[in-house]
Amino acid sequence: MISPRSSLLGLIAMMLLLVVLTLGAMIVLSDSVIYRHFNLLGRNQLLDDLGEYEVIYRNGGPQVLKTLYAAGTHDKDQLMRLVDRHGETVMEHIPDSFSHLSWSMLAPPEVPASGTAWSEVHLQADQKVMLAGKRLHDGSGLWFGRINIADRAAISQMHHTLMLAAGVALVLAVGPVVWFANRVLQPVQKLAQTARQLAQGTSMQTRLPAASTAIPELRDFAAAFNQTLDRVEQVTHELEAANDQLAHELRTPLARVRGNIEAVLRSHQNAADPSDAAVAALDEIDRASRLIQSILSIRSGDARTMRLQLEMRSIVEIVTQVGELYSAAAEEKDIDLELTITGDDLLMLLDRERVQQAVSNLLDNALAYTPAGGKVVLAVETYPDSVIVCVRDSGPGLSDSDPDRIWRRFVRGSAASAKVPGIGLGLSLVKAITHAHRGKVDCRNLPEGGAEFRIMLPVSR
Amino acid sequence: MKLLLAEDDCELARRIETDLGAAGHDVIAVKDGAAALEHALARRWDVIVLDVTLPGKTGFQIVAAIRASGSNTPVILLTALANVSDRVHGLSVGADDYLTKPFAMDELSARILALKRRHSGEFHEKASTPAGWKLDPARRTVTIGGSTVELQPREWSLLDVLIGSQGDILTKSHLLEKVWGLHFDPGTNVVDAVVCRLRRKLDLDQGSYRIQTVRGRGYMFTNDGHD
Repeated sequence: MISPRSSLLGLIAMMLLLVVLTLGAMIVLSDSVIYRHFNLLGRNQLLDDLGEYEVIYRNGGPQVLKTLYAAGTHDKDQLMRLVDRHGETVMEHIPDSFSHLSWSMLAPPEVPASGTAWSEVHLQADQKVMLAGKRLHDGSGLWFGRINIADRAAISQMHHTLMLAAGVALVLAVGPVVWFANRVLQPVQKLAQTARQLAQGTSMQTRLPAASTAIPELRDFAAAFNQTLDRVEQVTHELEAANDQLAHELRTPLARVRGNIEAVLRSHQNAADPSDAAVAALDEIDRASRLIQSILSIRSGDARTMRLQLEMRSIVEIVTQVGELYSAAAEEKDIDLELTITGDDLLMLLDRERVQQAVSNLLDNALAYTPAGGKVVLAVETYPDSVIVCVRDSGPGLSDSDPDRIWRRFVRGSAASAKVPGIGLGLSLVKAITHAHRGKVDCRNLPEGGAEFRIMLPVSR
Repeated sequence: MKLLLAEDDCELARRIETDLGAAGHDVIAVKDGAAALEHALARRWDVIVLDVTLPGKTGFQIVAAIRASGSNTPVILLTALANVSDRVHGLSVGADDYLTKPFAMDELSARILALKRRHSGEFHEKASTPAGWKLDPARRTVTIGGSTVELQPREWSLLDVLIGSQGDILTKSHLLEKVWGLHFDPGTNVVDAVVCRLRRKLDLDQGSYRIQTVRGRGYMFTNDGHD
């Protein structure tokens, strides 16, 4: 595991190093450019001065030259030497602060016959004397020199300015680095830390922290991820609840089967007919089988993996058949089962048996909750692009919270009681089958009392 | 009847073997796919009963291999997979019938008999029409002792199936499948209600023929033996 702090510090150090290196390279480069520039300037000035004094010498001779030179302010950083044609020094000047220098160190007494002679003497560090010499018209030689004191001052001034700018740049560069660390790096580290806690599975309630300092993209990410976690948690809870319920529901028939078989074993002491117990046990086993089958079907419906055997069938015929199937059972319970058809019959692509199962489940419920003497209506309404199958009963109706929750697994409506068998899977299966047909379900209370359940199927031909 | 049974669950295999043996059939039981296929092809069988999830080869593969060999011996698949699509798959590879576990033993023997009859071309002779009854399929009317009753289409097919298997116990799920084409079991006991109504309509309490409810097993069309 990478320590979060080390990577943070590493990043800051790396970014700062980058900034320092860039600035350093810039300063070195500027220094060298400036130095060369001043060198060139010094050289040109030297040539200018030399040419000027040559003219003065030609017009006024050594005396005028001497007077004019003395009148100027040359003592700080300029040197001058005039040698007659025999090599005798006529005049020379070295600034007082450089009195340790002697002309023998600086330049040869001879000056070439034509052109300009150059000489450069490094004194200490980057302090140097640059000299230019020229043969004058009467054969005497003139050397003129400059010490780069002023250049050095200017260069060093510039250097300092650059350094100052670099310092400011460095300080400014820290800003974005710190911003990045606070807004991006640290939030990401916290997200990773939390995600690891989630992976260890200690708590399902843990959520990714979306610090207000984090950048909006990260906050969006955390929010989206948290929504996913909410959904996962919700599904897990539902699954756990469904599992508990399933275990409970399977235990009930098992317990009854057990009880029945125990009764058979005890039957020699008991007046009960052993075959009664066996029949009851078979009923319970059938109930458990139906339960398992429903669970499997609903799951495949939820996962949209329910495989349908689609055929072109008449919707009215399919629904009518179910109605007929239940007519005898309704009669037996003294319930008036009425079949109404609105609109023209039409052929549509559907799984005949699944749709009949869905309608059966609705009728099962309607018959179970409608009291004797009541009425159940099975209605088919066809429209050009959809078909609605409704089952209306004259039972107790739905409570306010029923319409939303009643379609869920193992949820029984408010009217459910121990007297009415059922485990709350029937409507889930209706919903699963309807969804597999890309349809919708809903339910409501009727103004005249009782409940209405509807299956709405799109017509696909 | 010579029956081949391939079922890897020992307990279930033993029960089927005992029950079918008691019904007078000659049953050979095997426990894995390879042996099942070998036996199936080795000799003539009247009916083959195959579990779908056998070790080695699935029931689907075995049926396909049997059909590929040119044999048309009737095959019933037994399975815990109860999806419609599995049933359709089983039938499409060449099985003749499909039974979901858990099933009633009566159901299995009724289906074996039905397959055998269908395969050997023994149809119920019209002689099985109950004595003194007049059946008119076109108008779906039954005339018993001078009084004529008109039946609804499903009541007619229910009566037809019951009379056709006179003396055999037909389970509720068998009737749901044969009469209504449903392979699921509605919670409400709709079959019982329809059977009761049919009895009432035909006034069967008076005559010698009965639709008997065999508790925990199903229904049976019987003649009380007056003629």
